[in-house]
Amino acid sequence: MMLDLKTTRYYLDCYGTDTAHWPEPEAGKIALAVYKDELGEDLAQTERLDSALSDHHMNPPSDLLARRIMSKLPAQDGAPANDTSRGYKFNWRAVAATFAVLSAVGFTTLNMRPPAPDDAIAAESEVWREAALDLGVGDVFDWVHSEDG
Amino acid sequence: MSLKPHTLDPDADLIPRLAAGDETALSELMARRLKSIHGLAARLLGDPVMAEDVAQSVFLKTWTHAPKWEPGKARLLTWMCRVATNQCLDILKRKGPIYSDKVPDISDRRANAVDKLTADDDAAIVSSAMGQLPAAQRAAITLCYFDELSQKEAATILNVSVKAYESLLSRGRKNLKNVMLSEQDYKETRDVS
Repeated sequence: MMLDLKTTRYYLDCYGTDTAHWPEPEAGKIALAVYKDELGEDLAQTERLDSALSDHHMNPPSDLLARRIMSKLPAQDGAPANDTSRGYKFNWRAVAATFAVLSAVGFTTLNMRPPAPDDAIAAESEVWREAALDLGVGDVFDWVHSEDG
Repeated sequence: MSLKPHTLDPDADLIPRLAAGDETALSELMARRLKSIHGLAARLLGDPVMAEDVAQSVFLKTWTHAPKWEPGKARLLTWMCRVATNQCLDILKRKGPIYSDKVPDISDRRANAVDKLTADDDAAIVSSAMGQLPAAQRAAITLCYFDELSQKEAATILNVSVKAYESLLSRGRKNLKNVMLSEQDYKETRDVS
């Protein structure tokens, strides 16, 4: 649909002469050609401004910027469950550490043997001997034990 | 804001990878968009170095929020432009009332060393005048020259209706034209005398 002069002037004021920026680019292109004489000085000034704005360049970002961004990556929000993030690894470490401690305790426990029966008799005998010495009948105790032997 | 079929997100392929924490996807996104996001911020702030900080912040936010991204609601680039624009407008607000509704008259600008510029260098005059525009007008003109955004997207980024966006564009461009013309008048008067 053909744009009227009023709409064309309105879009020209808002968006300039590059009709690619207009809401209706193709219709805008035709309208600018059709109303070229009516728009006259306005069109010339707008073209000049557009040219100046297009030449308004800024320096590109430094080459280091991308590297700087990559070096500062934070943790993501709501990371999915299949993510191998820091927290997940930490849990495995805790489980592994617990397992290792339990294994060590179990191994030590299994390796602790009860005292041998002979050792128990010898220990008891030693207690009795000390008691006999205290009572001054050590010789008798030794004699009885040597007779038992 | 939902996407129409003709405005399918050209960065849609990267979103699942970003969401999965794939750093190479972020590198690819930077290869595609870092220059434009930096350019947008640089034009808005008039300061390429400060624009680097804004661009960095935009990409880090994109990375952080990627797992929560809802496909089909908006294009990734539109969202990034919105984050960049809001951040720039915040910076401009914090910098103080250096922008007013009126472009300063010619004598003010001469005092600001604009006089040292070549008078017929329209680009330099417009570049300087952009810095004098109210932030909203400046943002509207900058977004209009961002080729990949539609009028509706630009209006959404500025959180205004399309009509209000067009009004900002029209007033901003009128201000720039006035500066350009008065600079030309000044030059002609100076040449005659």
